[in-house]
Amino acid sequence: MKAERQMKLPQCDREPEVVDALRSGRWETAWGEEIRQHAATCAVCAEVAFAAQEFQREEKLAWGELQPPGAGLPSAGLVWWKAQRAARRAAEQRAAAPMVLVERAAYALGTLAALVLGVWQWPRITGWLHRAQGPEPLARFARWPEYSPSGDWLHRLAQAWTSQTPALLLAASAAAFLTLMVFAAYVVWRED
Amino acid sequence: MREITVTELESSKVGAEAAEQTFHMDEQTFRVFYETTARPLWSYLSRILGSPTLADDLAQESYYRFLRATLKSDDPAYQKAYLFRIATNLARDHWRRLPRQEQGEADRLEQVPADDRTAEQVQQRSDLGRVLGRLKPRERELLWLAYAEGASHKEIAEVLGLRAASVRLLLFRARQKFMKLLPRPRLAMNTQAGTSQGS
Repeated sequence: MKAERQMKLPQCDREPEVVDALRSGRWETAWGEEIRQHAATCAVCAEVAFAAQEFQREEKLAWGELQPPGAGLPSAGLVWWKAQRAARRAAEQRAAAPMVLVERAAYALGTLAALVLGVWQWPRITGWLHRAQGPEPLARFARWPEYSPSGDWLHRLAQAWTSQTPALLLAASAAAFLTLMVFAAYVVWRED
Repeated sequence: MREITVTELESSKVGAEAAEQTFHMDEQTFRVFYETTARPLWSYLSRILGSPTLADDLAQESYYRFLRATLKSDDPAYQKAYLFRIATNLARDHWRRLPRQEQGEADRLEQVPADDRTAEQVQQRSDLGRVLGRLKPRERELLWLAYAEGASHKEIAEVLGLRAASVRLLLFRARQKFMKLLPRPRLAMNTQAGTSQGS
């Protein structure tokens, strides 16, 4: 079937010669006499010659559009430089990719660790929170002999802080870590 | 201001070396290649896409991709076919992203000031522009490569990713469609002009 269809195609072995004669300009010279005479008697080559003339005229028009100054293609040097810059950027990104990956994995693992720790120590954290909301901390402050309203608040607060349960320290550390994580994630996101 | 660290400088140096190693030709060879292929490539893209502006962008992108590609041969004909293949694929990617009705000839005609050309040239241009606009992208590619570029069936097959045996049939069909779409009086006139030059 396929062979049969190919055999039915009207074709001429001199089609490439016709196109070549037109492209080279030989068509219009004395050297093109013979191929012109052939095209005059060959329907396929006449059709090819017509199509080739049309397309080559269009190509010349297209080339003409590149002529005005300021229009048209950039210089070879500019294209080379831009390609080099793009390749350099791609190479840098490839080189930095493992570091970025490790950095992001560290952030992810840190966040995960904080969450696991939070879930694991949740009873202690809630216990501390309940105690912090109740009267006990105030009572503890009141029992201190050094305590006075006009004293060094920061110093006393630090003393009170260190006297709390490990769960409080843990919760505070986790909060600080999470704050830093959010900030670091923002910085990474902004740079990307 | 952001300071550049020694590590970054080293990285940049490595990147530049990598870029040099990535390209398969040196700058001087590329300049020669570019000078011989830029205008044909731009014309091809401009006419198959129907937009000179888009042709500018895709031509540059074609060269970037060509430089980074790994070529099997240093033969200039092979390199040119490879470049045209990249450009064809970029054009096809563009068509896939666009609705069909946007692929018109409007921007093709508006890009060239009419007063730069004679009335006859504008008329000829709009004739061929209309015809190209009504052809399928592959038909435009086939006809342009065969008749404007003078590419052989084998070269066309390489550029368009077809089998060489298929090109003959597809090109024949595309040419028949092209002949039907062109205004008949011009067809008769040009055939006579083309064939009467020999007598």
